[in-house]
Amino acid sequence: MKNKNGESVAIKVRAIGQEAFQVDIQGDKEILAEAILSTFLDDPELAINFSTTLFSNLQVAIQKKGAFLCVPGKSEKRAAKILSMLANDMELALTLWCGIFQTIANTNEASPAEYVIPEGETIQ
Amino acid sequence: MPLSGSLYGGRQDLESFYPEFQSLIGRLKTTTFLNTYLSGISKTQHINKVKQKKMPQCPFQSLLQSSTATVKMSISMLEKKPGKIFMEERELPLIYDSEEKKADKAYIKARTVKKPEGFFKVYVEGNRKLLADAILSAFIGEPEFAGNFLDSLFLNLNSAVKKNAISLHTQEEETNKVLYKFANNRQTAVLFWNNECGIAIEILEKLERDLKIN
Repeated sequence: MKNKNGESVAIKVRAIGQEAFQVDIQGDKEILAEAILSTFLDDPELAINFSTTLFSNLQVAIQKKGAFLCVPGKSEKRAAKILSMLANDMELALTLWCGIFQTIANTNEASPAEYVIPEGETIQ
Repeated sequence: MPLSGSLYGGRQDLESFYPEFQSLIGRLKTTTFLNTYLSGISKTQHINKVKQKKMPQCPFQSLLQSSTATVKMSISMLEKKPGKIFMEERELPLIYDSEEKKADKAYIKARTVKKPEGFFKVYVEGNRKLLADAILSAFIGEPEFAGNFLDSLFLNLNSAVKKNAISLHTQEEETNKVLYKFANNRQTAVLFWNNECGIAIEILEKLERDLKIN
């Protein structure tokens, strides 16, 4: 993580009507990305919602347009194969994605960070 | 200097890409390019097959099962109202329950702390489904941001697999294989993600063009 003390970051979303929403991203994106991952690990409900949204969109996208390979390389074939597998099998996709989060979460639980952030340090 | 930006996303509570629903959506005149782009789950029979094993120590797995229950509930709600939305039995869309619509704001905020370096404090508030859609929308809208997330995710996965091996609560060989591929080959993992974002961006751009034409 970047060494930026006291930096605040946020991702905020506001629904517009019942069908659309607006997203605002503030602050350093590297820190925010880590904060999101941290949130996923600590909040399985959010992680599951994200996984479901991700793979339902993937499934529909592949049905409509097929796999899209934008970075050719030696991993291309394997990536395409995995992509097709996941798009065609939602159970596999969700199990995989949850497995990623669970694997990381279990390791963090086994060797947690020793530092406890004081309660006084609030986010404005 | 902090970066700031604004993206627009859509919720996946009304639409799907199936032709029969596209005509319905057209009549209702509720379509925006984004709520169409973020479509509902298709072929929910895959979801219905999720194994109902009891795994109390795995919050992800139990929530996965409750997610399945939500899908089933939505399907049963739809089946009770055949006059509203026509659909075939084989392909059912996901429609979230009305509770989701009550909450209209959500956020994740984080702030780095002075000591020790590298730590931060995170606050999460609001509707999790809305927030999940927003995060995906942000990733698709900003590939650099998605890349940052991926870096963090797969570095952590790689480290976790080295330390504790894979934690899967369903012993599926296929899932294990894919997970090991992701953990041991970041290029494959990133390629997978790039492909997914690439497809979504293409669809988004096409829908934007269609909207302008209309």
